[in-house]
Amino acid sequence: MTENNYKILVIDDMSIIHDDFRKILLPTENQSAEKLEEMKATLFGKTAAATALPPFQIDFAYQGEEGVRYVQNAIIEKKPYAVAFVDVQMPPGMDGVEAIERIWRIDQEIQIVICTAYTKYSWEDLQKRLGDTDRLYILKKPFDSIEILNLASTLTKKWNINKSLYDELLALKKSSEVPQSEGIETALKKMNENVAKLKNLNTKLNEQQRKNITS
Amino acid sequence: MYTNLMQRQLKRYLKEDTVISPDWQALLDAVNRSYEHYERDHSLAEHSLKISSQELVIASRYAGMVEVAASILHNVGNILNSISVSTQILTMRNEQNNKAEDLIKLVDLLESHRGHLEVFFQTNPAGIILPEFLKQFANYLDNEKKFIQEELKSLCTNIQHVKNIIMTQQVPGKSTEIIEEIQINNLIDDAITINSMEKYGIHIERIYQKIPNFFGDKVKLLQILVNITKNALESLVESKKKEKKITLKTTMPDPAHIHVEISDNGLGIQKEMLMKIFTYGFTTKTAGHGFGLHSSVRSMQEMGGELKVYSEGLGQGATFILILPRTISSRSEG
Repeated sequence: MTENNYKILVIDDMSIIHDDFRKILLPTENQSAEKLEEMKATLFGKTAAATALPPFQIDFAYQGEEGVRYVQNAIIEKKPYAVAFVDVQMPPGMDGVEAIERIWRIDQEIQIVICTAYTKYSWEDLQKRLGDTDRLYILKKPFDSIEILNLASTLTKKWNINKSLYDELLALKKSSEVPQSEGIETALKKMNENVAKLKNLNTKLNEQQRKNITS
Repeated sequence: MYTNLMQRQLKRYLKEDTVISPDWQALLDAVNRSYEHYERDHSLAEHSLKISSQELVIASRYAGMVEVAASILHNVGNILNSISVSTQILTMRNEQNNKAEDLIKLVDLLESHRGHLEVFFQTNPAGIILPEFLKQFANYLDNEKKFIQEELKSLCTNIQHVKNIIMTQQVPGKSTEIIEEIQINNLIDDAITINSMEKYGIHIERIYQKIPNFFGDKVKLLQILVNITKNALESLVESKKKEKKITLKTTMPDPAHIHVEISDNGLGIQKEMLMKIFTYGFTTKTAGHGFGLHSSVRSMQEMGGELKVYSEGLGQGATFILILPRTISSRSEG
């Protein structure tokens, strides 16, 4: 099992939006909180543990061109991003939709959230430009922190499940070349598990998308 | 009474003492009537030309305002996003802070050991770590206070930012001009700020002469400066040059004129295009509409100034020069 990927790329022309992502996904922890929690167990007995965020790693780009370069370099270094949040309106350079077209030419696996303040593009426009895909999500600005938290954690999970599924498939292909009934059985079992996970995740994603559309 | 034109013609072709026979008189009257018609049509045409050129000035000015408004909406919208994130983070942080409960539990704990507290503090594991717990508790509260202070500070800064943006843009209704005192060097810097020029890695060189304040339509002048610096910015970004540079220069070649020079080392302009770039509806940008420079050049003319452009050709950068009279047109100062 390889290590999970929590790499995120934010492409937005405003530095204050970068700060927003940083605040939400990499919150400043109160340094005394952990020590207090440890001692609370001794003082009051068992207490509920606080839930921690996944260890996100975030890079920031100001322009589409810059963002595309980041994705390119990540692919070359074999440390691809799992998720990108891309702003639509980024004057004076290319806009977000063009940036996404270029990014997907380089990296077919990256999950993308397109952030927009107003609907310059219709659903038909987006489908025409970006294709019928399962990797695109729409987020309206101004966004809520809970939406960013939700998208970042769900989509990194989705990326990692896709990756392990792909790895399993490769392994299965390899093992089927040298027939070993046991190997196939284990791989199939794992694959089944992954398919179930994926289905479950997809339901969640669909639900979120529906909420996004109706809200 | 004949029209002026008719009288002139009669003077030219007839001797003073010529007696006009009644037969001719009718013909002369008819000619005079057509002259009258001609004069009326001419003045009508002149009048409507004047009106429509005024309308064009207003329309192009609004077009410029739309451009500025769009960039302002974009900026304000994003700052609003930050403001909302800040309030959410503060709310979340406040909700997660359940330290008062801990204190109540602590009091309960001490209550349950009332009467033998000394033993509790010396032998009970909870009693032994209690002072350290309180110390950490104080640290925690202090950290939390700093965090909240920091977040409130960014919240205030952002609100101030929105205020400033709106203030620089308060264009009073439909009125076509408002005369204000202008410090040109500051106004150029405002235009640079509105375009958020610093963040594109462009080297900004300022060669400012000390220019005395003068009176003029500040909003209009700002729009022109925003427009021209925005063009320079777009040209620089598109040029993909490694060392992007914009030079801002102010001079006073004579006491009556102020020159503002805005040069970039971006895409440049083809010789054949130099004349065309100021025309209405001309644009080289895919998303442009060709109002910007047109409205700028008209506004400059309205102020009694001039707008000039120089470029050695493609890839050679471009220089725009605004020539401003120190006393703008016929308007009185103040």
